[in-house]
Amino acid sequence: MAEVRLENVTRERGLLCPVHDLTIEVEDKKFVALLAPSGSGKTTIMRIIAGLEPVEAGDVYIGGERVNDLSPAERDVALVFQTYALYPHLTVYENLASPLRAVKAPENEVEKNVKQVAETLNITPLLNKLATQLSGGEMQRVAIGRAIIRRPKVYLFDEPLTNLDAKLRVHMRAELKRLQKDLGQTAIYATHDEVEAMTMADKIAVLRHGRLIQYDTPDEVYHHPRNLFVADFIGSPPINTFDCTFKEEDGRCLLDAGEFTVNVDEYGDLIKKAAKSDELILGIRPSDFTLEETGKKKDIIPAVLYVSEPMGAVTILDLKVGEKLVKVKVKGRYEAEIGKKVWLHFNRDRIHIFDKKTQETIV
Amino acid sequence: MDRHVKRGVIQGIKYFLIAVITVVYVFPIYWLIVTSFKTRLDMFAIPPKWIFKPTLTNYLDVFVERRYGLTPTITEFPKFLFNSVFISLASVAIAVAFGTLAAYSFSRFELKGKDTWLFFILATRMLPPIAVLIPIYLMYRTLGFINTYHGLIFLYVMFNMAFAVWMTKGFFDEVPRELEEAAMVDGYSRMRAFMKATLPQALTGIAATAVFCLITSWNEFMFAYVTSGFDTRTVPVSLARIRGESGINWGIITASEVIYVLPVIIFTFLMQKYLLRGITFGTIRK
Repeated sequence: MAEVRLENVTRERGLLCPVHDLTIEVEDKKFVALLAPSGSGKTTIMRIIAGLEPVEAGDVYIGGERVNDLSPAERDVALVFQTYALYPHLTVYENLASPLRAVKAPENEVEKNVKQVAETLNITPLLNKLATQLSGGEMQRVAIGRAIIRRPKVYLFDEPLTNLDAKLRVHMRAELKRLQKDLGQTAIYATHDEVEAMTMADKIAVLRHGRLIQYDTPDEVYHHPRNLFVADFIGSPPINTFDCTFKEEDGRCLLDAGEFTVNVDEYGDLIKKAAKSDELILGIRPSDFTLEETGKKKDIIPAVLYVSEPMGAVTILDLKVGEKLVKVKVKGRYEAEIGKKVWLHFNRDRIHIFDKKTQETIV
Repeated sequence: MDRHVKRGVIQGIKYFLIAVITVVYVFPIYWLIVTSFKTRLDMFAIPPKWIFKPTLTNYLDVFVERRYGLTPTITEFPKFLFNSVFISLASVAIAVAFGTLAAYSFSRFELKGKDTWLFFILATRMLPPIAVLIPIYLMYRTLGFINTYHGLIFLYVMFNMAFAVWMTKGFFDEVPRELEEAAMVDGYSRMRAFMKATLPQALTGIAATAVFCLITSWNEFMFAYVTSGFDTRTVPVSLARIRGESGINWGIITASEVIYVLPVIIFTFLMQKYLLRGITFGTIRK
């Protein structure tokens, strides 16, 4: 049992990005991603949990025990550094054996465990190489091996895939997720890559400037972002936004975006209650549009094709709506002349409405 | 002038200058070594003898005292040599051990007034040593440190400490913090993490530092001259005191000097790679 709980944790001094009044609970055996752009304090949080960084206020609990005053060695957590931090003067074998040597495990046990871990991670042929002789992907495996060899209570991964090339990253993503499920231990994974967070995590904690913005399942975070920042950060290509004004005409509620208006009768009351002013932002994800040849349907936006980016299974279309570029994701290949006039239909159930001032989600 | 000729001339001048400088530096050492193998007659021959029959008499005289009508006895030189070796090694060991730990702390921890402390340490090197010679002599006399091993060792530790701290700090700064942090997360205490992860990375740098300190201690003359006595006399002091029965005994002096400088020359030659790393260290940041 090793849930990790941070209560009102603050760390503002020091050289790292600050963390302000952070409260978050990671349940036992769950895989949680800390998702944030660089400079949001992800690394600081990892180091606080590992015990490498002191906190100025708040408490850290691991498995129900308050660990504020425990040294990293006493906390029984493993941290995979972004830079891997392998011991360059030691062989892969000794790097893997390091956590066992720390507790002075008997030699036969060390050997058994090292071999087993090497087997799991497919690095047996590397055991006698020096850490400096490895490629990035190999180093990364060794770093993970060093973390899992002693079965700690909690795994911390600090952007472990960032330094790998794109193909290996996709491969390791699945490997890591499977590994965590097999080990059945709590894992916290810091990343700035929303794809990694979405694909691997049971829950995502979105951070910004050292504060927790939203902590939910990937689906929740994607479909019900708490504010514009989360909506914009998650999803690729990012959500399309339109500045618009809220109007009531003849008892109908309208969003006027200049180039088009949207009837939002069903959200009228919500908007009136929550919005600070009439200035709103309409957000529609690229995949929530469908292309129409005519403008006869309701909820439709006229657009002109700017350029198309075919990706095989899908095509990203860049369309001009007035002066604004809008990205639309459609299935398959889409052949059309640049400058062609098309209509974008969207499902009103899937739209997001944000308050322009506070950036908070209204719908 | 043709460009090739011009380049050739410039090259020629360069090599000539290098040759001159080399001769200026190397010739005294050559002359010292050569003289130590000459008989007294050959030493003073005019014109100087470039080719002569070498003799080991001078070296024998350094270690064995032979007087007419008396049985030969061992000289005091081995004792002075031991003093030099012992005092140098002990002072370097202490200075580097403590300097390394201090440098590690300066490199890794947030200390109050860190820059001030570092400046204080460096400031001990700013004064010309001779300015503190008399005060230190008086201090040592009061403390009873004159003519003691610990007195000289303490002095040399003081000289070397500043250098050791500043130099090894540079090396520690270059070792990524993550290494020892990884070790601490692996389950090591800070001290053990330092030994396991950080120290091996800084070891060549520390070795270079130790060599520099060793040379400083080994060569030091002034303080040894003032604060040592007969029992703790080091080789440089003893060299200054050699006198012969009939005039200055150049044979013994040159032979003693060769024995004295040889370890430094050999050591420097063997360690030149590390020494260079020490000198050029910090000039290029990765």
